[in-house]
Amino acid sequence: MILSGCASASPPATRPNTLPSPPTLKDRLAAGIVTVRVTGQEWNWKTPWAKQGPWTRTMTGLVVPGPRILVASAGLGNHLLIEVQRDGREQRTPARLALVDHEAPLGLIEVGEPAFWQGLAPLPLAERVPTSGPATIHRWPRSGQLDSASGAVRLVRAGRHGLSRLSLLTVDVTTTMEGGGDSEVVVAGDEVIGLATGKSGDQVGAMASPVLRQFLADAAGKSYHGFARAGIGWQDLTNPDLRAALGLTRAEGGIRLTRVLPHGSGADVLRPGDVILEIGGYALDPTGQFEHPLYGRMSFPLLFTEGREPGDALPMKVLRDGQHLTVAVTLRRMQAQDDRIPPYVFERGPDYTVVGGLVFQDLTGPYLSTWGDWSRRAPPRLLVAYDREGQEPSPERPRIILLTSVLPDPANLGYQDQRDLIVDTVNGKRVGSMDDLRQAFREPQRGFHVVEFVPGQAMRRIVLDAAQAQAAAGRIRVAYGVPAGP
Amino acid sequence: MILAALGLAVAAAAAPDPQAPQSVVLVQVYRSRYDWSLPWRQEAVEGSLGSGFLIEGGRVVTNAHVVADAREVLVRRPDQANPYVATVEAVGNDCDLAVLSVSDPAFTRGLKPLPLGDVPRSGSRVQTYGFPLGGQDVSSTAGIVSRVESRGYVHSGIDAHLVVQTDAAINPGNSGGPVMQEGRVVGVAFQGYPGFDNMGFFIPMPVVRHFLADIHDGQYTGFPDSGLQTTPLLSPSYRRERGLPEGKGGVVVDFVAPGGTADGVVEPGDVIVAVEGVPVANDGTIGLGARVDHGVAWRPRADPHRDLPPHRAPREQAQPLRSRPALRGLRGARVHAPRHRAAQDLRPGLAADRGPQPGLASPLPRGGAAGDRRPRGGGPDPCPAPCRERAADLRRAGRGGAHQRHDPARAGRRG
Repeated sequence: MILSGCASASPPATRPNTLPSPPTLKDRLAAGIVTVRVTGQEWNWKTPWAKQGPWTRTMTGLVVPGPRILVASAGLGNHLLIEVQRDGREQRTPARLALVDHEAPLGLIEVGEPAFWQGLAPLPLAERVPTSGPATIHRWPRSGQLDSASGAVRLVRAGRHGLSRLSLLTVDVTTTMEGGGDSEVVVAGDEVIGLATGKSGDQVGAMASPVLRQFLADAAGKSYHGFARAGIGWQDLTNPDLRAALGLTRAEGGIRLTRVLPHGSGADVLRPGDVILEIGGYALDPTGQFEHPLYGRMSFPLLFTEGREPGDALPMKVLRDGQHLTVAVTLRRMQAQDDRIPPYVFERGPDYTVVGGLVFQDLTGPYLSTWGDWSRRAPPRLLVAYDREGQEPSPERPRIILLTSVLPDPANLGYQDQRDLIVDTVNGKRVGSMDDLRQAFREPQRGFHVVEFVPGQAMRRIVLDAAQAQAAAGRIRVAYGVPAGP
Repeated sequence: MILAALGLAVAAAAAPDPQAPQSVVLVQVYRSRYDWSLPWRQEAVEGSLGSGFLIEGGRVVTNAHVVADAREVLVRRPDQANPYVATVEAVGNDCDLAVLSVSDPAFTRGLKPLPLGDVPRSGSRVQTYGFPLGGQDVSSTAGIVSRVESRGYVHSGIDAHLVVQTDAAINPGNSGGPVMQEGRVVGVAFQGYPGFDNMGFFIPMPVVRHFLADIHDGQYTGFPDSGLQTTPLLSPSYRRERGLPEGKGGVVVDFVAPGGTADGVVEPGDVIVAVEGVPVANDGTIGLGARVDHGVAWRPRADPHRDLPPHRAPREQAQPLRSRPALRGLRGARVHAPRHRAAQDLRPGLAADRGPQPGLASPLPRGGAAGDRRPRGGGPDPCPAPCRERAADLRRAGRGGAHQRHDPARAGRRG
């Protein structure tokens, strides 16, 4: 083993005649943990033809068999460059993202340069996580020794990470570490029990190692399946009168479905109003918790991800209209782009089009985020749409299309102040997607483009002269820096 | 002797303005607001001050917002010490006017009701009388008529009528006081814009006369509403698409309130080109010639009286004037006047044809703003984002409970 460039912490230079001592835990940790630097650039969703300034994030990577590097971070989206560093050194080696599941969020990174891997070795991932006891959290600082903070496992639960809606096994660790939540490696005993994805106060939330093992096994297969999600909304059944009215006995638990999303696992099988009594053999209590054999009381959505993959059948016992039924849902992977208002959009910019200076886009989470504290500041009409139908696409109207703003030009005189109007039809055609919109603009009516908005907004209708709108494209390009686009 | 002389001298120097009408009174209100999130609760009593003036019939005119939620109303003459208990006889929340009466005949003894005038000419001088920050004597300020236009009345928040803008100082406490010209009342002071210089507003006589005539039968009915939501036709393309001839103006109808004035008469897509024979310009404004109104002669000025298009909301919220400066948020009780059915006859030829009609008539609200106002409920979004944000801030600052913060996390359980 060459000492230079290796993370070995005890150089045997002073004892040349002894056998090298077996690597300590600290050695092994240093050889199994690297730094990943991600550089990227977001689009400016208010001026969707332009990008913002670039950003760089640093996160901790775990060496896994491959060899590859595993990171648990929502910060991989919109990356342009990935570099890896080891041993707390500044030297950077280019890398690439081999696989990413933003919905987890998890990523697998490959490094082409074989010299990088010299002396690095994967750390074992625990099959089950402790529910208490000491734990340590590790990352590389900018330079120098591995930064190891002490902590204690506080809780194992079903939790969400990053922007994800998935319910995954989570370990909460109380720690003295400053900052965190960038995929730091959490260790108990001599095994990795998780990767930290969030920090709140003195507590780190980590994606538990069984999830990481499941992801790696999936990634090693022929194709990646991902994690399934229920796609349901429900209410507790703690009120005894409601339970009695539904025909539940005192012994039965269960929760009542209020929504079943058309692209979720429950579609085709479950219905709003169904009471779910049992999932995968586990009985639910009136708040939707079940007794996990290893970890105690957990919230039921975990049963859709733990040890299961999309395509699997998940049996359930359901009470419907007073009848007890046994059903099986087919697990489905629900991706952000399938939502009516996607909560995040990565790896592509905003889908927009400019006609006569009118800027049209589909409503997305990133667009709402341009309001900062958007849940208070965004236009109420958009918030209502987000709340009511954000997750529910319909085949005819998969997206909500907005006139987001107007780039003033003589062709759009009279409309300059219009903002954030939900589009109903263009040139007589219902518009449910940006493609619908573009298609409809190809067919002006008697020389005019007529855009109608959903009733109740500041304007009901906008009319542009089609020829003038065409002529305006050149002026707008020059005046506003909008590239010639779709 | 010397003391008496001194006393006299002091008295002479500080004598109240003999021009100031005695018939302007201080209105002192003790109110208790309702709590709209804990609906069995009323808030603690708070006092506020405004002004009023005597008109014929022994009645005192003031603003509706001065007496809103009042539990006790007192009026005091500037020449007397003792206040009188007053009763609120009528309230017009859609025009921020109210009328009080005092049972004690001593109140009106020796007081002459103020004569009512007309809309003053732009640029002409006016004088306000009232009790800004309370005080013992009537305070007067003077200025000119800066502009006559249509603006929102902050008290209800959803009504717009004629207002007159003046640079005569109008401050908290002036609300309800008369604005006078040549000895006649030409308006009722009622709102201002904090932070703006020399910009106060008063309710002009057409609105006041409409209100007084309305309550004559003992019941307040309110201002009629066209029930139309319209869009200005500032876009030449839109005008052409609607078939509007070159040189002709109008506004296009987006929405007709079911059961409203224009229901069954006007349809979405119609272009309103004239109202009672007065042409409508592309931005929704009308220039008035001979004025049809409720007994008010109203002559055009160098700037014709114009009506703001209904969908353009004030960028800043005007403040109703009270002794308490902070705007407390949306008021509780709202009175929505029922819509009037068309009282005037409509020109023939309306029903059959779609599209623009010359001389399409819509009944003018009597005495108030011609043309469109924001229809109540189900109408357009009159408050663009910056306005609504401000309104939301105001609500939060004020009542807290009145507005539930949108919190998606609370919108049910999801997985």
